Amino acid sequence: MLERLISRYNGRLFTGLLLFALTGCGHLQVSGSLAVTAAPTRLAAIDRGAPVALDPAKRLLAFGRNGLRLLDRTTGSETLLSDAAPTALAWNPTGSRLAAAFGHGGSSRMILYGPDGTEASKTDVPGSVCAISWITGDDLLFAALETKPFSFGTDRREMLYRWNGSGTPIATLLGTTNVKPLTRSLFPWIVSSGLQLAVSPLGDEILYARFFDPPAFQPYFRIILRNLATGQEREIASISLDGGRAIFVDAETVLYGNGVEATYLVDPWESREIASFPLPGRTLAVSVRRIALDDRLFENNVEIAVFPGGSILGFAADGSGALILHKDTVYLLDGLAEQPRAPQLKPDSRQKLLQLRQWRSEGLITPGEYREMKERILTQ
Amino acid sequence: MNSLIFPLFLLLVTALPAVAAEKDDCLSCHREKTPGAVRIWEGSAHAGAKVGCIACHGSDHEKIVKGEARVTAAVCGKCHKKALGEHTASRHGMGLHSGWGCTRNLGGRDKRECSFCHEEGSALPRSTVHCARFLKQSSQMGEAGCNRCHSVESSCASCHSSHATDLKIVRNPASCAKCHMGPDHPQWEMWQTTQHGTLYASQGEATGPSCQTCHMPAGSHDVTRGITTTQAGTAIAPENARTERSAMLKVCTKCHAEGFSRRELEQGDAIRDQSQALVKEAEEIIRDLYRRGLLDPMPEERPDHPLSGKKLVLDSQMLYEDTSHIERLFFKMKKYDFAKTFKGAYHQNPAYTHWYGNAELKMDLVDIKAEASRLKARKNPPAGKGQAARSVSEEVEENLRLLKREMEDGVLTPEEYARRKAQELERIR
Repeated sequence: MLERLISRYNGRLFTGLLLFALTGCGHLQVSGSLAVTAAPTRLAAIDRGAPVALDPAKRLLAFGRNGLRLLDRTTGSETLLSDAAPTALAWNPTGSRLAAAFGHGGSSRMILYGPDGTEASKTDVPGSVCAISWITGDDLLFAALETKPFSFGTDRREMLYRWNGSGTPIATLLGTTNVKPLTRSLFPWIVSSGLQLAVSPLGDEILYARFFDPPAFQPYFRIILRNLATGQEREIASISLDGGRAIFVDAETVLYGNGVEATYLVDPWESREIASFPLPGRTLAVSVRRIALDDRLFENNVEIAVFPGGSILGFAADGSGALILHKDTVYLLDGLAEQPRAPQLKPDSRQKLLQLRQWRSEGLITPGEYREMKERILTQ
Repeated sequence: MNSLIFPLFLLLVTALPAVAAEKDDCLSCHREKTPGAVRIWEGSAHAGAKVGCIACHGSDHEKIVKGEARVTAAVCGKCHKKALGEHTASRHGMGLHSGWGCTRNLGGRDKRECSFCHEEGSALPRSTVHCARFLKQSSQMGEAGCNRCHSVESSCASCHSSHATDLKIVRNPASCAKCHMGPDHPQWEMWQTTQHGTLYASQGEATGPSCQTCHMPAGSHDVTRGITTTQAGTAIAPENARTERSAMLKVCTKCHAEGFSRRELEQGDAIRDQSQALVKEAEEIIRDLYRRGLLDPMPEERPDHPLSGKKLVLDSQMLYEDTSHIERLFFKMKKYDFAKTFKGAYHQNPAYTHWYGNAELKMDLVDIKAEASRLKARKNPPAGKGQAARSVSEEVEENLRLLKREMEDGVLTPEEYARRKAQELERIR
């Protein structure tokens, strides 16, 4: 469906656009047909640029404002969980745990909270945590940057941690780069952020941005697809430091914005471009039915909403709501009709599929062989 | 003869005297600061020819103090063109061709190591030949353990020393020994203990040939002249071999009959080729283990090879660290014992040819075969020895790995590879 959406979109940019102001949305100016059936509600004020996370039930919103706060939408009560500003937030798929990362001296502290705001566990890791992603209900990944300054540049180490809430997180070095002094002066944020992380719907592969700062060339990121079991990696694309991103659309397809002028939907294993969008793709999100590209929302091939410039969009876990961050406010566009997700694979089929994906990552089978085997497994 | 009077006013001392003849005042300070360097220079041909400090070191004292005004071979070559030309064409002239693959992204590097590969202020590497073993080392080891020999490419002082011009220094075989000794190529030791070395020690240069007599005849700086073997120990192309053999025979026949000389050298050729066959046999054993996934650890389980990543490397870029045990045995066999065998033969040293070389080489092969048997037995113990039953998936994976490696090694055609893979995948449907 998404492919159909995109192919039509290419020829029908801005089709069906309606412009109007939404009432009851805290002055968020939104244009597009979506507003006929749904209107955003203001949820909370946040520190500009602070992370937010909505639990799967859309009841609890965690966000950064003078610390970490938890808003219960049903009661309107707001609880201060921590005085420290979070650097990343993520709810687990069941809503039983909120993972929050905080700066803690020269390192970071990762804390798991229960839905009532109680601390369940915590751990410290070196560096600065930039992104968190849950694999299962009790197994999460987070990405952290470690830096060490030298007179001739700054060593920037991209680390991946896997943690189940107890013991010491398992660390994996993803990449290391020496940031040239000139690069650091032009892009000072590069030593504390810029490490993005996305996990595939099957939980077996990640996308991350590895930084490169070659001599005599401009610095850039490479989007890398990594199989967690084998550690094998595949370069998907190069993106600029202007803010490109990459996410999984489904287990086989990646959407990435180059941060400048275009966003691409690709099959990363066959290096095949499925579609492109004339938008930089600095923020991306997908649900089964919709896609959010920068400040625009699409559904069934049609751009259904344009939010004010600079808005950042995200989806609730089941796709029935969209979070909109604009300046220092977060809104919820609720009541979106969503298609059901594909039924879960039988454990045996899932195991076979994960095995095939590992073999594909190691080059033991070709993408074509994988595709053929996958079809057979799914039709069994 | 003039070409032999090589400039010896090279790097090492960071604050050097300037010369009265050039109206600089280096000497007034350096007589106190570096009196040894000044005294050596004052006794040199350079002083006699009024070639002073600034001529080689330049006049930027700050740069000199920072070690940024190295007196490279290019500086010497301005006057000693012929010597530099011969040197550059020889293996010595590519001694520093190691280190392609920038180390700046590796952790804990010393910025001074940039100068191993780059001219000051340039991001372009000045070398295109790679050395994985160099890239594995710390910057300190790279400098003290690698570059102190390999800097021969760009530093005449590597042999001539920094300020002296006395040819006695470079005509002494000990000047070669700094690098041409030890387990990987002990030419100095093997020469010393041959009749050539004994005659040199007892009768002097006129009777006993030295390294320089045979490898740098008439003061040539082309040390590769007359050598018919590549650095990897294989024969060079036949047309080139004929030319080089003639050049060496010209040297030998100053003392020996041509027939005798030719037979001796051809004997060396034969021993080289016989030894090479043993090395190839060992290499094939390891490749077979690799294809079967039996190396411990396999390349994919180790830190990346600096140039080839997760591939098995058994060629001249082979490492002695982060490998399996059997590869470490092979490293010794190829890098040490194979070299001792054929170089011992060419240098007419029976002990090196046989005991240090050939015997070790053959015992290495015994060890490698034994280790291969152990690895195979460990993977497939005899029935009843309690190996846990493997799942179909594990069997298929192992077979897929074997097929992939067979394909990469050219054992399988692409069609056969695809067919065999399809058979394996059929098992997990």
